[in-house]
Amino acid sequence: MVWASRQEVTVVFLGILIFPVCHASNTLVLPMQKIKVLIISEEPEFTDILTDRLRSWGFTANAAGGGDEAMSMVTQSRPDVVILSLRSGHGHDLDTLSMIKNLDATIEVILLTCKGTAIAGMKGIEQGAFDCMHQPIELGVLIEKIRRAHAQRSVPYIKGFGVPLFPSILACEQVPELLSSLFA
Amino acid sequence: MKILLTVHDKSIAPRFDQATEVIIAEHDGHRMVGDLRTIILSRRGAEDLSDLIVKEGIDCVVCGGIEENYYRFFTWKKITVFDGIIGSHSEALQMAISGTLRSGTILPSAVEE
Repeated sequence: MVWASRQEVTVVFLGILIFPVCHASNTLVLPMQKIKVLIISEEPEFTDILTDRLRSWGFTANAAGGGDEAMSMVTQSRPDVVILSLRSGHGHDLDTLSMIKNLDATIEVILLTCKGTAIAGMKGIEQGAFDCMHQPIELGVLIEKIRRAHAQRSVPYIKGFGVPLFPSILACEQVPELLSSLFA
Repeated sequence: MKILLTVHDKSIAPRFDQATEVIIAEHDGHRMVGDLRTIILSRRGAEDLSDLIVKEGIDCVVCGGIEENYYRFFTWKKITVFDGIIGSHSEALQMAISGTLRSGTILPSAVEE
């Protein structure tokens, strides 16, 4: 069964060659780059403290109250990682996640859940959120998740595949056939 | 032994129910075990904070002013409470670990300010 055209196979093969270079350059460049984080929450005290703490850890952190303000900040600043706080009884909070993913699918979103939002958190994961954390949040754990989300964002994507390149290659059981057809 | 400090910026939060951040430290009676854990609370309130203290299995709470109901609840739960502490949280933690902290202590850092 042929599941990909020759052009797609070529792109995958080039990806195999490019990935180690991208990966190596990330490890060299990322520590000097500030990861851009946007915190979206309706609790100003919470966002103030979290923004302050993340900045002290070397992140470029900004906060938005939600809705239109959040989307305009996402559009303008194109954060690497968004931290989106879900509120109980506010099902439309997940709309923000959809809008972010529609705008730029490579922006990773970490959801913060609280009492009554566990289901929304799971739906969010299905809709493409990177992970969800239950509040109150431990700063060290959140920072680790932000770094992992950013590292995942740095993995090259191929348009049309919708998943990071390297895992998609690993998941393919027909790699030998694809490579042989490429050189045929 | 697990110690929880209610924090506001670099100081002990003046009121238990107004804390927005806590620091949890573990020690073996002489020195710290592992790293300090910072937990950011989603909103102010003694109720959520009490839940966290019980859930985390805290042995000692270091805070500023605390409502009597919560003070009684913690002592009933065999949690030591050092309340009325004024000063920097790092100093309070050192004193708690060394066993020299007492309720109502005004730390040198507070006097300097």
